[in-house]
Amino acid sequence: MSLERTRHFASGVYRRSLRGLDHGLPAGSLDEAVQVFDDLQRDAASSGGWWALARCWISEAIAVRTLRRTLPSHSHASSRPRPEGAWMILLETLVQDLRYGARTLRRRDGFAIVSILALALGIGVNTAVFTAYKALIARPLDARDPDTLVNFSLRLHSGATHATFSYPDYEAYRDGLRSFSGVIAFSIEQLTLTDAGGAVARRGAENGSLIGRLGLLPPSASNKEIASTFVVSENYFSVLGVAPERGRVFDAMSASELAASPSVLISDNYWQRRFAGDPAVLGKTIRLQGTVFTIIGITPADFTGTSVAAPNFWLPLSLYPLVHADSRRLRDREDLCCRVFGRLAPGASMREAQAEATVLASRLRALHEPNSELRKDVSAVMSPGSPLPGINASLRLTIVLIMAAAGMVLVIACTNAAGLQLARATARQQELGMRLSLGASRSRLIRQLVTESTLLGVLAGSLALPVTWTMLHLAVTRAAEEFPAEYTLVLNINPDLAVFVYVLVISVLAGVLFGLVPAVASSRSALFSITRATGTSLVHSRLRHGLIAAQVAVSVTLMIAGGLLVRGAIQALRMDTGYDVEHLVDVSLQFPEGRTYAADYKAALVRDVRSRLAALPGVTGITSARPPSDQGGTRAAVSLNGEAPSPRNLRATLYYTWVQPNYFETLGIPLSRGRGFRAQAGPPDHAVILSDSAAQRLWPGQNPIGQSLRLGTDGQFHNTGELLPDGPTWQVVGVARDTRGVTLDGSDSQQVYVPLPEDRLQDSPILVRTHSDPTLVIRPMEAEIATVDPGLTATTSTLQAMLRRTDAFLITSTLAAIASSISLFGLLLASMGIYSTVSYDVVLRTRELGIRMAIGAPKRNVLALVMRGSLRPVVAGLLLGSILAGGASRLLRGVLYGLSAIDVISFVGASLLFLVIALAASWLPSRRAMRIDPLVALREP
Amino acid sequence: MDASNQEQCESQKQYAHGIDGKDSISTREWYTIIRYMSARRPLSPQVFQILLSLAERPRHGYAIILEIQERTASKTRLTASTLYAALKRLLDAGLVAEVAAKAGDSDPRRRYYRLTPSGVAAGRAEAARLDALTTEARARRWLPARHFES
Repeated sequence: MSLERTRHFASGVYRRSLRGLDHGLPAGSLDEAVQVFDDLQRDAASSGGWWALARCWISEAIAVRTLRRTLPSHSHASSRPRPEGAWMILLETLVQDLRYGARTLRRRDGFAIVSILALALGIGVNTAVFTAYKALIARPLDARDPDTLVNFSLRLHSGATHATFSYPDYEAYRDGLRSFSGVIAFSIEQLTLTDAGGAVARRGAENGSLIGRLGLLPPSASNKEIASTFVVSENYFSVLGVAPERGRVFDAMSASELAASPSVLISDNYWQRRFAGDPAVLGKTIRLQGTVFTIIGITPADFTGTSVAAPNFWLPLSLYPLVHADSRRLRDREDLCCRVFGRLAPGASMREAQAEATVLASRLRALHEPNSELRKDVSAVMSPGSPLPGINASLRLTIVLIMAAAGMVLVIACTNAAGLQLARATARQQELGMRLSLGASRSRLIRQLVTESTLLGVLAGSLALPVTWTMLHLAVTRAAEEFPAEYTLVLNINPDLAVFVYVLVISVLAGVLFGLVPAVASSRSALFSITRATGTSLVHSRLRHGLIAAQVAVSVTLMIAGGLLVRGAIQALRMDTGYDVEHLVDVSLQFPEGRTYAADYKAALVRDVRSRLAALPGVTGITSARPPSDQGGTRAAVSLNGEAPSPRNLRATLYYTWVQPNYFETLGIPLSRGRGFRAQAGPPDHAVILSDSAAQRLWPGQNPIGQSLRLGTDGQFHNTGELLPDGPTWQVVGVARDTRGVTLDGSDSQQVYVPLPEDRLQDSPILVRTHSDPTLVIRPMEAEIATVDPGLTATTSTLQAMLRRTDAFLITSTLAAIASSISLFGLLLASMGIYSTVSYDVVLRTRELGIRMAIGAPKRNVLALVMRGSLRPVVAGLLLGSILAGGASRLLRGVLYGLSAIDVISFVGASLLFLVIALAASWLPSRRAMRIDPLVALREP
Repeated sequence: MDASNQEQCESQKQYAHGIDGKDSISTREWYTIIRYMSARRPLSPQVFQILLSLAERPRHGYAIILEIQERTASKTRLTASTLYAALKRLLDAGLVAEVAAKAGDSDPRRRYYRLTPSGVAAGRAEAARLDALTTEARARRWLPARHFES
């Protein structure tokens, strides 16, 4: 709201507040008072802005209040009845209730503190999830006016959604759409940086950190700097409406100028970190992948554009061929390199834009390869601008599950507080009964109790907000440290209006939720208690036990779901991969840039390295090939019967891997048919080995041995100089067992193994098989490689660690971590609930237990009695929870890895764990029951 | 009523003549003056400030607030409600009266107020009371001694 409108609004409020005070002012001067108030507001606003304005309101409000108080009371009565009378009465009773509630809470501070803590935990978990959702999922693009920006994606014929586009397609969208004032493209690259001078930035997350320990960091190459680079279209910054902090951006230069002097932008974050904010960085040259670039500008601090993190450099898309020595990417329509975003033209709606883009997409179909998915029916989909490449079904399910889990923790917290409230109401029976008999209506009593619980809810909310914010702040700082140092993770978790409103709403909701049931129940029993002194606690204890059962049920559901996910993540690692993951190390060599290393020199180096590694103690085998755990597989079109691959005779597009004859033996992949490759000097035969599923795909139900095929890599992205299997007719000589791939759909289990020529050893990583724990051999291996040529960079990683970095594992394990920490909160709350309920039961039954002990019941029996009573609702809750968890795990099946939905270990384990904790939670207060002194207990009223 | 008081009343009467430009003070006004003087009821700081601000010339409400704020270097700020509540009391007591708006003022909502002789008297009485108080404070060295121009 503008200052002007706020002022008018405040004047209106002021006029209303003076109503009924007319007799306190000179006759007819009401208008003038309002006029003066408005003048004062205007002065304040012009001199001190919002702050002064607020001060003006506060002093005016105090003055009006004083005026009301000093007026003789009869004048109140004589003022005409106000239309908002009913509201005023409600408001007055509300204030009355609040003050009364605050007084009561102060008296029973123990009760209030426990309730507030329980609720704060529940509200805190929800606030954290909501804030994280806002910061990660629902975040807008980092741009001026982000509401008019949209994400482009295509819905394919198969129903799948594609958020990446080829460069030629991007150009067509950029130039052919009228509904957009600008269309931009964006892609992420990791490039090697040399000649930057100054101190080399240290990796933020080393192996000691959590992510490092989990093996989630990409392997670090020790003597090479990696620079994260966002490759963006030249109009990127102007369409986003972001000006450089210093220097200029790409569209200030013409295409020919850019080509003549290749330029990059540096991010403020990297500039500060790497160059200590040195202003001389503008105009400085650096080398990315060996090509010289000039830094022409600095982007603002924490500017993330269409991503969630700030990179080191920004590179124009037109210069992409310079860093990959390959211009295919900009010409290949099948190479989906870039994500595309657009800014809607003024007046254009998203629907219109979508319709226009769909027409264009259908026109582009004809230009795609015949076997391309993009050749079939496609429609363009526009979604509100977001750095995330579209929320797919499994991510949506994940979000829903996490939200549901957080909601469940809130339910547990409310149930917990409700139990306490009920216990407290039992103690206040006397007071409530008295008020009822003095003429308070039941609804008035319920309102009183609900107001009290709402007060608790709001107090809990105001406690939860700063605590949650501090925790999230710590978590984000930690996450930013753990994040690969090449990127600056930018997450905005500062609470804004939406978070405040969210917390307020759930706090009030929680207050009403946990207050309503006990209020209704205790006001009813208070009615009885006027006539009968006892008998009410029975109803109450049933309700309390019901609440405990509910808490247990919900929290067991959470625990079982969390357990399932954790087991799923473990399973994902342990699952039979079809090869030996545990004893293999991947050694990737990079040759120095700048120096001329001829191909045969490289091959000789690799041979030298291999022979030295093979001689190391503990090494039992060595081969050169891309391991199955690597995410960057290569694909080729396959045609049969010796025909050259073309769209007409295309049989399938399969992954292929160059391997040496000893590959299968070294990795432990058995052959199911035929023979392996023959080890021989000179160029290998034109023989291939297929994986089981590839053979099944190409020759279903037939014997593939002796059949022939040809491979074609046209239309696939590959680097210059890469060894390609195009050309010869290959004869199938054997079939190997499937290995489990790393793609989520498992399509890379279908492999064609092609024999690697001896002189191309340098193209593939070296795989080393070890006798025992491979991590022990890594250090000596690195030392050995350094003795061969100090210029060589070796990146080593166990295959186990590579598997942990795959998408499938990351998704499952993140989900498992979140779910188990949420379920931990649930468990904590539920045990708090059990503890407090049993404690309260013992207090209520002091007299009864005293009598039992006085007439000779042994202490052991008393303990058993109390424990039995308190465990009954726990067991009921466990049963109910298992049923709920059964339902929940059916939902989870989408993200579970090879687990049956009813996983006995998770179910039994969680239930047993819970039972033990429940036993402990009820044992402590039950012990107090044993120590009751019968004499004291009997004397109690 | 003792003799000295009578004398003070006399001087008040002459002063009021000067300000009001009237020849006589009405009985009602005399009554008010005497009541204020005999009660020796201190005026509230705000009321006293309003009287001071109207001493020079008639003003409208907003001008009163501004004048007080300016004169006291913002130490005393009146709110609209305080001002009008005080004006109401002053009007009821007959210490101020409404005058017709100036010809130049276009806003019809503006009302102008002036001091009545009783208002002047009450103001003077309050000033005298404060003066007596500060003299006593000075005698006890709570305030520095005054430098007389001599």
